[in-house]
Amino acid sequence: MSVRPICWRRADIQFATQVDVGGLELDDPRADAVFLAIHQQVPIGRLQKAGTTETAAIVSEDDILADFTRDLSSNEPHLLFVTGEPGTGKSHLVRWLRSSITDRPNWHVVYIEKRNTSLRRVIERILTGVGGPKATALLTRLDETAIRLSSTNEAMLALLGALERLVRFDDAPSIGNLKGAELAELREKAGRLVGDYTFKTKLSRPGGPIERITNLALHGTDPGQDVGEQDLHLLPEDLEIDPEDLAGAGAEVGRLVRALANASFRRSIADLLDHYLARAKGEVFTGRATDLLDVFEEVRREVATRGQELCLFIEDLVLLHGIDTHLAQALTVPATRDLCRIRAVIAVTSGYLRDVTTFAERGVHYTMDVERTRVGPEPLRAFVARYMNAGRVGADELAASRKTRNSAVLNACDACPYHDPCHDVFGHSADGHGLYPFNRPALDRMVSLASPGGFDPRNILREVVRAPLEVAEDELMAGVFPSARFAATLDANRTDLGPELRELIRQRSASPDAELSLRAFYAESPPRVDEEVRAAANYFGAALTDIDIDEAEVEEPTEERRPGPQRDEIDRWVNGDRLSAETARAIRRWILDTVVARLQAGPHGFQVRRVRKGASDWQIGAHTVRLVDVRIKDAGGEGAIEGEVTLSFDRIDADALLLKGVLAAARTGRLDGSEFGQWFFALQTRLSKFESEVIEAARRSVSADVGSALAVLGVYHRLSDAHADGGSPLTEMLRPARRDGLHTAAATFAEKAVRHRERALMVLRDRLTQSKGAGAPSVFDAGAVLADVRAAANLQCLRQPFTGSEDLVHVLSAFDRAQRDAAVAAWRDVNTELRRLRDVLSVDEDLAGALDELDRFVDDAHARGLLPEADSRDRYRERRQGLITNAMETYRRLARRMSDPVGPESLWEVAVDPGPALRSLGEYAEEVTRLLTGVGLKLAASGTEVGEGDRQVVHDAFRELADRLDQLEKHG
Amino acid sequence: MSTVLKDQAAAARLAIAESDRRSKNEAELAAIAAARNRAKTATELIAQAFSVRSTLADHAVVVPPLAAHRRKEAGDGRTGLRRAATQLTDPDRQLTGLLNGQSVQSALKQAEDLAKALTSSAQAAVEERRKALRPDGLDSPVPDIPGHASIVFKLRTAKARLEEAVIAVALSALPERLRRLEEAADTWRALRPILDAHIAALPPAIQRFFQAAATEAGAPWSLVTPEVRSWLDEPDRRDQYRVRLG
Repeated sequence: MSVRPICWRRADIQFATQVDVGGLELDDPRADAVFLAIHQQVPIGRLQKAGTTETAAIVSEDDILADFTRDLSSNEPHLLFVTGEPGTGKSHLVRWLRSSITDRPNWHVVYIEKRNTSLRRVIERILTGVGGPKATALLTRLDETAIRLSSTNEAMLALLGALERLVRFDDAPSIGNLKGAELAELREKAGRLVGDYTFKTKLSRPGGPIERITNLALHGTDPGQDVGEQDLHLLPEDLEIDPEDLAGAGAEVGRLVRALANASFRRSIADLLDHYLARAKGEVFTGRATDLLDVFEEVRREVATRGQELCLFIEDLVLLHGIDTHLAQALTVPATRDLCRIRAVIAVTSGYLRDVTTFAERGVHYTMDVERTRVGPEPLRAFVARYMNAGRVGADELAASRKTRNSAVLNACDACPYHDPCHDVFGHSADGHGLYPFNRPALDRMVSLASPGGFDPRNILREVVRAPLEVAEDELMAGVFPSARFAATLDANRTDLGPELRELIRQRSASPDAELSLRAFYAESPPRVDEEVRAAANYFGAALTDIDIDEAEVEEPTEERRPGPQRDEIDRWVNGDRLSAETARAIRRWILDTVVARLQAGPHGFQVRRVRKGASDWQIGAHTVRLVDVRIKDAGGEGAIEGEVTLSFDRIDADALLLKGVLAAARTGRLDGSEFGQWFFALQTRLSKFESEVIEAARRSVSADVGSALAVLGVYHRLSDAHADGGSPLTEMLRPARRDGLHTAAATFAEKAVRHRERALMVLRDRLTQSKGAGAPSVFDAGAVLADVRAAANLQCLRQPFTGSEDLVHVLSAFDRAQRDAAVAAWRDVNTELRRLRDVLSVDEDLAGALDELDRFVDDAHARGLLPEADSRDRYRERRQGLITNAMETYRRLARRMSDPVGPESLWEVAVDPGPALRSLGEYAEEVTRLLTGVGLKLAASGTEVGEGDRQVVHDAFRELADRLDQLEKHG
Repeated sequence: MSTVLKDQAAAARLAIAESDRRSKNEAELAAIAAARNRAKTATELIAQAFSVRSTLADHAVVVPPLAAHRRKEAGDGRTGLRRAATQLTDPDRQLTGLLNGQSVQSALKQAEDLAKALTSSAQAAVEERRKALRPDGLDSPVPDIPGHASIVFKLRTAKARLEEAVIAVALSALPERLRRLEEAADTWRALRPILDAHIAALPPAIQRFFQAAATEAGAPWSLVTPEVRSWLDEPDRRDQYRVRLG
């Protein structure tokens, strides 16, 4: 048959199989028609009692309808809860109940759908047709709120503001397990976080939790959106924030954000915030003054005055998060003469009612969580076929036919020209809906894969109807259906076919993907080709090989050679199971031993030996080949860090065959244990390539290791006197003699690093000697590395990135770290000395000139008795003689480096301890300063000037006396 | 202040040099003060000597003129001082050296010696006058006769003044000393006869007792006769006497 029609329209399939039936708008004729066309009765469990999960009985939708519509004999609200996991059809059932109630003039019906249900819309729905003053006031407040929250950003800010206020100032003494001081502290911390601008910005980021919550509250759900309960809550993972992102926040918030890294603290904060989230949402999105209880009462009074009952349908209570608690309270108030009776059917996700305790123990609870097997294969086929039929007929046609045909649903197959051959080949449901392009086994197998446990209609629609039909639409005309894309999300490997068979089919089939899909899905007993498969293959134009299932099995090892459970392990692995560590280790060891045997026999010249006695890893020259370098996807032992050279096996059939051969060889010692040894020849290419890569890595390691080892020796020999004297580099590096006067930190480094130096020497010894085959090492000409020796001798520190074998890189890291630590410690001491010295001696001091001048000063002062103490000059001379040669140059050199960052190379500036030189300068300068100060004080206290008056006085005195003497001479 | 030690040391050395200079000034000032003080003292003494000589002359006490060699010394000193005074007017002249020099020092010494010589000759002149004023009978004791204490006191004071030699009396004090000597001589001459008359009026035993009591050895108990005792026991005399053990 060459005609492969595409008898459905993708748009109609998508319309019918929307994520949620809530997407089908109520009272839309097209949506209603499609809804009725796709509706399939499924078994429903009635719970033994509210609050449990124990099913008392399996009931039908009609039973629930009868329960819901029964006459109310008491004033208690009649509440029906439909629980179930997401996608199990809760909303569908509520929708069906709504569609199934006949016109009842004494019922005031309020239907709250999931579709586009914002909190405001919920309240508007409840108030529809009610005109009391409170309702009017509430609607006004809702309008005001809507105007106030003109954008999502504004709403997010308002929500966070309300959240902060409630968290900080609510006076509830306990929340969950939290109470007392612990709760108070948590309130303070949570309030501080959500009150912080930067943190708020982070929470409100696009795609972030507050935007998600706000959008759901403000706009409701998108019909195509798969909303889970957790989307409405603030979760611990929503608070997983990188502290780096809050660099602009204050220190306290920064600390709190870092504390959020602690899972327990994060959970406590999230729980506290989420506790208040519902109230915050209620306040922000419906108005703080809104009291739903009052409004509901007013509605019930109004409805009562009309002589009606209030009949409420809620497609998903979860989406009412924020007003659900109020709603629950309102719905449990018994009827009175003034308050109408209530009946309500409420769909809610399993487990949600735990938190809405008012509902948890009331009403009748039904569950959609029933086992798939309870539904039965034929109803499941009918379930899928109804959707396919809806996609074939189309929404418009269904709506049109509904007007004329009443409840009967149009069947597209009835008018199809290929009806008979199509139904012959692919079959049909009990309702007469054709299963094309699937057949019965394919449909059953896909449904079982899509709904492995309980009945999961949402996933069935997604994985069995929508996705495969889209693939079929793309491939049927091209003649490649069903390709590897078909049902790929359900079983990409076609696991019912063993890897050998799959590989054979790939090798021999003209259309291998189609044959694999057909054998895996369309066969009654996969992978055997039966009439169903041949018919389908013929219809699709796919060629089947004549490989018989027995042929593939014959090629398998016999039971005697390979025990049963082990024989299938590789099959299970390639089909998605994890390969056990034990099996993986056996495979790795066999492969590694084989490669090592080849390396030992090879002419590459490297020593091949175990890393240590009894170890499974091998040393090939400088390169280590580890057991885990044989990498097997999804196998035990794959957690190790990937090595430089690896031999990888993916979860594909070709590799599975190789591994089967390896495993057989490992366990039996025979190479023909699988595929008559064909695998071994296929493996040889992989092993040769791996061997070559290992040799190349070993060669690279030699070069890298020698260079790195020389670098260690070169840097280390800076600690030696020989380096200071500029001797022969190689000799000095091999036999360094530690110089005297090392700073303590440098000496410690020398002690610590000596083992790294010894390791480097061992590397040189190992790398600069080689062996022929397994022979003894022979001396290698070191002249080849002399240029490297000179370069290494000039190194001040190791160059990064570190290269070489893994263990040598560890040595280099440790050596570098020790050198860096030593540099930091030494410079800390030196900087202390320098700071002290800087206070008494300028770095610009001309010390030679100063010494001369100071010598003369001390002598002058001493000669005049101006020095502070009698022994001052002796002490000065003692300090003067204590000055260490070149101390000033050392001081200047180090002072210039004081503020520079300290790296490992900085060690050499201070390796020979400059402390004594700096201290000698400091002591000298301090003594001199003391003398200068003392002399200055003495000088300041001395002397007055001789004036002209003094000279005159004595002149006059002499004159007067001379006159008297003259008188005496004359008169006696 | 510079933080460079070399600069600090250089500054300190400059400060020491300045201090040295100031030390020299101090020495110079000290030399000036000393020279000026010595000159002034000598000048004042010489002037005083002239003045005292004139005063003493009014009391007929003649101070002999300086000997010839002293007058020559005075001439040498005058010349030296006048030369030094001339040199002092040279602002570039180092005063310390000048003032402490031989010439000035010698001149000042001569002036000081001359002042001393003038003083000594004035003192000697007054001493001569004292001796001349010394009355006869000054060596006899002055008995303390009851009822004549004032006369006894004045006589004893005059006696002490006239017996004290004029030695090391300041030049300026010589005129006063001379006046007191003359006054003491006058007192003795006026009152001694009166006291002797009172003594003579007493009974002989009592005279003997008082004469002995006025000596440094005192009166022996044997002289305290009943007559003496009875005389001493008179109501107005009873409490005026004390017996001391020798």
